[in-house]
Amino acid sequence: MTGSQTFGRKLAKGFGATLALTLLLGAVSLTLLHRTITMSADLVEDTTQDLIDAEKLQTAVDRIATEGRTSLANRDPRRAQAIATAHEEAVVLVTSLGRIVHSEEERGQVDAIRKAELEYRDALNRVLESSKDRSAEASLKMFEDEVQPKRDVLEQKIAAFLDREFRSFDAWKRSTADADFWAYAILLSLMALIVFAAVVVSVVLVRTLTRELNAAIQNVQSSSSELEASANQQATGAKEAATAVSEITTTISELLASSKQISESAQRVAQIAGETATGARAGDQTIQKAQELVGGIKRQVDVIVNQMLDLGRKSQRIGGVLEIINELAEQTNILAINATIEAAGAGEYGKRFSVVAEEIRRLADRVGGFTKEIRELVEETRAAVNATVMATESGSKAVDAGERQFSDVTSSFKHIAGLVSTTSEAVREIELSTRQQATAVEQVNAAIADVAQATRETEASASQTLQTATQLTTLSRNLSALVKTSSNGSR
Amino acid sequence: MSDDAAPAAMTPDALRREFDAAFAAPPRPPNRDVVSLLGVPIARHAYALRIHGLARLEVARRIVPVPGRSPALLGLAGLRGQLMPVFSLTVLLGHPRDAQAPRWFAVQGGEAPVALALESCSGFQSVPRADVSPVEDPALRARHITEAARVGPSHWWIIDLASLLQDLAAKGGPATR
Repeated sequence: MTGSQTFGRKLAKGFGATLALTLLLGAVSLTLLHRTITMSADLVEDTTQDLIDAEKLQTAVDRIATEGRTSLANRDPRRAQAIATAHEEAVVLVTSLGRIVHSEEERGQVDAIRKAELEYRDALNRVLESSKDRSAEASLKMFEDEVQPKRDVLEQKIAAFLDREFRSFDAWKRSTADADFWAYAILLSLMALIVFAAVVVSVVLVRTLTRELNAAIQNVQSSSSELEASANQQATGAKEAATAVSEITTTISELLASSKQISESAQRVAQIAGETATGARAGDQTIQKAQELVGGIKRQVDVIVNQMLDLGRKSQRIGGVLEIINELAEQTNILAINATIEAAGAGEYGKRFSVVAEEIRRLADRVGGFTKEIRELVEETRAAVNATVMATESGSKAVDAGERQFSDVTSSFKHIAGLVSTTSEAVREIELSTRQQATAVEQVNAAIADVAQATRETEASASQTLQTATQLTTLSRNLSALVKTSSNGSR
Repeated sequence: MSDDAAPAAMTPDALRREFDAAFAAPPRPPNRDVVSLLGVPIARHAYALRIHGLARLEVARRIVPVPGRSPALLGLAGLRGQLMPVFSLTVLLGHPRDAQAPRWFAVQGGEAPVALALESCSGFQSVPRADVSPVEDPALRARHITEAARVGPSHWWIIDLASLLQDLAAKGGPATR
């Protein structure tokens, strides 16, 4: 039994060896028993059959005799058949006796019986034949004289055969007893040998198995200890994992809530972006209308500017005319002055002329005054016109600038509208993404829940493993104690 | 400036009526209690010339520059067939020459007519004699301002043209024929 073989093989070999020895014992026992039984059975059967046949032969002989006497006594021919039947039966019986012979003596006895039976039958047949011619008493006397002695001889032979059979049977019994003794001796020896071998095998097997079992138990103990420690770690890890998973679950739940809020916010933002885009489009239309209005204002302002410029030019023309009038008034005044001077130089003759000159001068002064007023008004008007023109030009420039800015605003608004549209698209994508994210988070949450469940199951499994490891450790200790006890007992 | 009603208060109908009424009224005798002045604004000062001290007033013509000792001499100009020197009244009164070209010539008659160049005239005023008072300021009198006339709320400094021309002649300015 080498160490490379398995425990089962060793056990199998041990039990196999024991079984083989047991089978050997059984086979030998069976063989001996079979032989004994067979021999006994054959002998008993033969002997029994011989005894039966002999007894039947004896009975047949007796019946022959009886039938013969009866036939002789009664002179009944019908008894001949019975006698013949009995003779045939006797022949058969003798033949049967001679079928199984175990010795020459027995064969000789069977031959003697056969011969005696023939002589008996012959004798009886002679008597029966002769009985026809004789009386019953004579026949009977003849029967007694010729047949009966034959019968006696036959019966003696039969008795001798029986005796020999009984002697043979006794001899067989004696021989059987010897054979039984030897069989018992052989069996006992064999049994002792087998027991010894079994004990040896058991001892070797026990020792080997004990050694290996101890080693295995040690391994199991160490492994169970390691398993227990590992199970502890696993249980601890499972608890920590469960705690972490719980925290993750909480975090995922918060994340899910946050994702839902973000999704809702994204939806609101998308909605607002859509409204903004709609408003931007409406605003774009409004801006276009406003731009058209601004363009109209600009055109109106340009018209106003042109009209104001025209008014300015006309004011200048008025100013020019006014200058002419003023010049005329001034010239008239100068002429009136000169007239006054001439009138003063004319002396008395120029007095009335000086009055006229004075009137002309006054008129010229009035004209000058009015022209001055007109000039002032024209100047005011021109100033107002200029101011208005400047203001209008400023306004026109402002309108131009406003138009340009409005154009820029329109472009910017269009750009903004485009950006808003892009933003709306992006927001919708964000909404979809956040919705997908929320769905993914829900799936993650469900997966985390599954993980948590698996962790709890792992924790439970780890606890069970720990418990099993503890039980295994205890079992290994118990087994070790048991093996040590067995080892101590086997020594 | 005019001593008549403010033009703003006049209406065309009022002017027409006044004009028409002037023909219906008897001719007015000349008022001898007034002094006729020609307002000459120079360097933001209100100067004046007595009308009767002038020969005439003419529109300024082309002045041909000629060299002379007086810085006020602008040159010679032909006025009504007469060639006469033209002096800047602004410079004669001691003010810096105006960059503006003269607009009028105040012609001083006599044997040696002189034309005084005026850049502008503020108008004709007939001032009551009672409103004319002599000027005592030596500085003004040195500049030939001998009288001052109250014209409305302001005063016109009346230039003594004779004194001015005498001074000019004394300095060898005019009288070049």
